[in-house]
Amino acid sequence: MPSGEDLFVDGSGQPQLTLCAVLYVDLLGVSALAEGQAAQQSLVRLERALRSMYRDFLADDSPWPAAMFSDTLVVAAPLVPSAGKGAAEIATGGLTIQAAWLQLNLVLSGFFLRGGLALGQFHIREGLLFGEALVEAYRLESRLAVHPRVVFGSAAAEAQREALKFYSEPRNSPQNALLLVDQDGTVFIDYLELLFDEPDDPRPGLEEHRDAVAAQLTTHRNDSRIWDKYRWVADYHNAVCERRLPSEQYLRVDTSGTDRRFDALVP
Amino acid sequence: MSPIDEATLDTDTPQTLDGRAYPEHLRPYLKYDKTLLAILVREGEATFDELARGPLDARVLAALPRWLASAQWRGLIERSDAGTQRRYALTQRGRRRLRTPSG
Repeated sequence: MPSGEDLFVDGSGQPQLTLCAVLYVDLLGVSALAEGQAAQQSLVRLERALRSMYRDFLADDSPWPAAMFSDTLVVAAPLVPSAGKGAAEIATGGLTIQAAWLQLNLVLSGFFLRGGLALGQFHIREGLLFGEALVEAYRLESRLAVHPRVVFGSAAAEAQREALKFYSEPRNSPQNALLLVDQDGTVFIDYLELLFDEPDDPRPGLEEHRDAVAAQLTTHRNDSRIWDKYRWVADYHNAVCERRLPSEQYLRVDTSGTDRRFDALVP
Repeated sequence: MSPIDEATLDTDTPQTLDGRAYPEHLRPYLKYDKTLLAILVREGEATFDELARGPLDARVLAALPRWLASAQWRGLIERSDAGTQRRYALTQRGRRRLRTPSG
């Protein structure tokens, strides 16, 4: 498959809409970093997180065309007609892993994010972004995600659920190993699961994640609105540890950092 | 250094030295061995982005990240984290796998 952008022009060179899975991501706290005294160092750190380790998410010739502006990143996975009936599942599944890689790499570099993943008509080419899937992904990010998680729109979630039908044991399917359902019924990306995909020891990555979450909880202790978001990440982190490494308590985010604090009116 | 227990490499369920087993959800990716190992033979050593430029069929492209994980578990490829981006290279076991009829 050549550069993903090739699917966004018709035979006469006119821009065209194409069915895509679209990821819309908002990097939390980046505006403040851009205005802060360490803006130059933050820029270098962000660039490294986006372009190193797993892959260069902003590469011009990527099969997953992307665009970034300020604290917003959009990545698309076009549905390839030759893939037939499975095209939606392939595009959504492929973009889900990309999103998980992106989120894990950014979070371990100190950049938490919130995002939406939608399926629908979209156009991205030479800096021009347009289409219903972009609007839906933005709405998912801004209205449904709430916490630092990447949530799925209904069509994207349905495409992944459809794929489960092809597995004799859906519990052991690739989809089930990268998606979770939150208590509000929202499907979101379980990016920490990637630490268990490769044979490397997952503990160092979990320790880094634990420390990154704990640092945010300490920093935002006096701002309930932001603190609640990182409390959610701590709950998610601890749930993953409980499920995967239940006897290793030291990997969990310290509850003294996650418990709400209620002080007497007069101490 | 690979944390895989060499004695388990030719079994259905390779294990790490600390006892973690090959993840069940990676089994569907075995079917891409022939295609992707052949690309690594051609490239010698490659980053994910270099492999993804293929050109690859959409299904193979979507599967590439997890095939890389699966192939590491099975000792078919080795990963280097020394540079800016991870690099993947074929192992001798990977070359042998490519020569088997089901490879």
